[in-house]
Amino acid sequence: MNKKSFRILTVIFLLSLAFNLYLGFSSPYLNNADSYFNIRIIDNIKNTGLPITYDELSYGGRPVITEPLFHYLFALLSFIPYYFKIFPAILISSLVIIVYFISKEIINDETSSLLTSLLSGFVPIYSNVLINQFTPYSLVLPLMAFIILCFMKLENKKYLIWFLASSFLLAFIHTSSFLLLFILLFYILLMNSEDMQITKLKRETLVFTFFLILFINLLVFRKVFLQYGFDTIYGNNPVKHTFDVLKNIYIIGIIPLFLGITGLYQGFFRLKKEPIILISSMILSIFLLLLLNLLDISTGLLFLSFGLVVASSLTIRNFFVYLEKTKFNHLRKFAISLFIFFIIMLLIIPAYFNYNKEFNNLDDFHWFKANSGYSDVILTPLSYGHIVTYFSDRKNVIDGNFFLAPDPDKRYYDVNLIYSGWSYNKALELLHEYDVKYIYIGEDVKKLYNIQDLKYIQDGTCIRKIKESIYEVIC
Amino acid sequence: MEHALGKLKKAYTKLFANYHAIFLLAFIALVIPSLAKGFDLHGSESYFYYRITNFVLDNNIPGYDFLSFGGRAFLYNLGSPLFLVLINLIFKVSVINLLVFVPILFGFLSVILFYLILKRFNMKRNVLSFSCYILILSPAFLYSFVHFTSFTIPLFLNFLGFYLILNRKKLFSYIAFFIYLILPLFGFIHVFFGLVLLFFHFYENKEVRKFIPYSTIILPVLYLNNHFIISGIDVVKHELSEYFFILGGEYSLSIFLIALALFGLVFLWEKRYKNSIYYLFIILNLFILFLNIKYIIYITLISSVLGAYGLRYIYKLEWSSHLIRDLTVIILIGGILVSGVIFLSENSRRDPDQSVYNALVYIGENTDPRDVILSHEKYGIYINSVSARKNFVDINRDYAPRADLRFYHLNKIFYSRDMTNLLKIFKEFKIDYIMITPEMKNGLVWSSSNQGLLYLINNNQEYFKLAYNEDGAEVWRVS
Repeated sequence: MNKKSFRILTVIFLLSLAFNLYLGFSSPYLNNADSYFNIRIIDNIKNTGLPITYDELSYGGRPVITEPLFHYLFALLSFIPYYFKIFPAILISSLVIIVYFISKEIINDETSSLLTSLLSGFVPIYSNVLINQFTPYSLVLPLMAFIILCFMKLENKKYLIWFLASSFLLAFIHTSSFLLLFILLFYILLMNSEDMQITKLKRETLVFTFFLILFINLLVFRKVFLQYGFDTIYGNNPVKHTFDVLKNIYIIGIIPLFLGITGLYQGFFRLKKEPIILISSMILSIFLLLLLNLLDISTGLLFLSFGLVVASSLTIRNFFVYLEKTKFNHLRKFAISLFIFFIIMLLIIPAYFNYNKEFNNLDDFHWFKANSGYSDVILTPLSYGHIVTYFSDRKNVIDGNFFLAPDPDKRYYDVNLIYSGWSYNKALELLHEYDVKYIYIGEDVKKLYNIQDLKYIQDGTCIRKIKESIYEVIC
Repeated sequence: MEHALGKLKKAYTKLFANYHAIFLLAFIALVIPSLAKGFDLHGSESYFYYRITNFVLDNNIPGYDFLSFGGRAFLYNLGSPLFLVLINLIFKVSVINLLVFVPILFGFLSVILFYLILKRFNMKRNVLSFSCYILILSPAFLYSFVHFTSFTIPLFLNFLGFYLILNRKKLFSYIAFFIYLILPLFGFIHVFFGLVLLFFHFYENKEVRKFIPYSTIILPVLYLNNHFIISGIDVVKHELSEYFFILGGEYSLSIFLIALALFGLVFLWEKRYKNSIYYLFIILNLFILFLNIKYIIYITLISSVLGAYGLRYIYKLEWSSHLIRDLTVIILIGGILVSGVIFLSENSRRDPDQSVYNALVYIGENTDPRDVILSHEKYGIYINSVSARKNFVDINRDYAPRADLRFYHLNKIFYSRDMTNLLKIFKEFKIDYIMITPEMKNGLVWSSSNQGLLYLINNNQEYFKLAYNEDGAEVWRVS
């Protein structure tokens, strides 16, 4: 990399970091209640040296299983204020550097690689899934990108060691390591179908990675596997997602989608380059996992957008190669400026507007902490489950940690029924079943269920209003 | 690295390929669960054989079992109970002691026999020792011998029978014939494996005519099957996931062993059709596994040998990176080791635990012998064996009367809040007591304290009286 490219890449990285930090610090709260669950685990590690293995508050008390490396890593960094906002932002922004090197490996062109890295810094889906969230994905995505880079350059012993070490770490960070397995399996399949030779070293590395990831996951999740068996792969998740094509195109980003698909077509059918086969494998495996409902949509789109961004590099390079052959070669700089303009208009601005603060006011949860009994159960929708345990230090009925959770399907259905149902008796029966003492029904909850208030509230006296957004179950 | 691994290989051959190390590991693995939970009966199968053996000792072979499923025809494999009765009568050893120590002894002897059998086939020392280690650490082997199960005796007899035949002495072959003759009493799968192994052994040595006397054993098999088992051969329904340990199987094959066995097959395939006889043997055995999941115990034996060859094959392959080769081998060995350790740790807790045991004793001492006790099917055999009372359901579902209907009603009873329907079912099946254990309240049946039956019994004092409540185990009387 020359000095100029280095300077430009640094600027892109800093721009991306500034963007992520600006959005992250625009809200006093983290987005996504799962972020607070991760902070609770880190707090527990700081206090006891161990992650939470039994959560007294989640689902009224249940065993917890997590892959610990992410939490231990951040526990080490937790002496820094706002570590849960700063480091994830740095990790997300680091993608621009990794994408630059991957693109360089694929197309060997400075300008196109830099433009691709700029693309990778501002994908709108980051606003939904990564920005201002304290989630393992902020580490998993760059790590996965790095693993792919290492795999491309595996013949170099240094990268082989990095590949092995990163795969090992990934397996201890998140179950997404299984995605890597699928990517590599698809890679073998596509390479064979295209009659392309996989080097011996790569074949050996694939075999090893397969067993490594399987081994570590079986070791960490043995209790989950023993309880759910093969069904573990479905994650025990009761939430069924709907697929909105237009919305998903918007959050993947129009530019990566258009350029990525074109790049894939060119790379796969014309050039038949091995790195493009690898990226195609990633995209195909994500599609398969989404189709089989083995991956939730937002995670799938996150990895998909990464694959498309990388594939875009080929289209960008081909565009400039084509430009060179025309009479408009002198407009190259203008074309670059135009490209940057499109990135601002079609990626950065949508990414900015796509970012929504999930929690605006959580005062009621502080009120619970000050005014409720320690063993009281607070009913909230699924998306507020970890807010109850973190801010109120009280028991919830349901939250987003489904592994080893008792009956999440039934609870999810019952919670929805209590909020949106018409029957007072049925609601009361369910409230008794879960020992619920308080019902939280803030404005966001009303919007979620499209209700003005609990519909059956006039039909009995056992549920009384004690605050604008809180009901108490008194009999 | 290369030098260090060379040293490691030498150290392995010197230390671990030694038969003392193999037998020591076998002994430790077999004894650890008993050391952890005490030398006592453990698990449903041990308690089941305890009851049946005592029953036969007191009443000879009965035609009817009054306790299981509220009463059912006595259709069980009698090999194990009769063996225990015989040993009890000859050596005057108590049934409990037999049930505790026979598995450990037979497990240990089985490893020795397995070692001696493989030695007869002139296997390389490393392959031989690794086959033994794989077997010892396999969940199926540990399941068979860390406590008494239906596999304990027939598996040992199969080892013994085959070993005696390999010795090629006339007296031994008579004893072996007798062993194969009694194998049908233990179930179809055991005699099937024994005979198939014998047939292929004689065929390989071009001595098929020697198999003729053994083929007559098929006659008692047919007789027993026709007499007891209506469907002819022993077909047990199961799901695909049950083939894999941790992923659904209680004592199935570790994924890493399957991987190694596949490499072993690749090794066999190097000689192509010269090894056809082995492929046929493996295919035939896999076919029986497809019919009966319990056959996994014999597939484990085959996989242990294949796996050892697979490991050698992997190690001998020309790798471009020795680092990756060594790491892959370490992971595969680690996977097999971890499967064994997970099985042992899961089986090192007392089953039933003390609180449930006390509740069962209470039921035995404070209820009428004709009373029917309702609980989860997991506790059915304990209700029969410890309390000596009738259960509503248990895990011996095959050939039980109206089993599907009973399990359908059990589901209704556990999760319904319809009191009228509940009382109707209780009346129809004459249920007098309900036993609820902490495990049932913590996920086995219910996930919250106000669910289904838990809600009804706590809120209908006129119909349900709490008779016993200690350490979370409850016994409710149905009025």
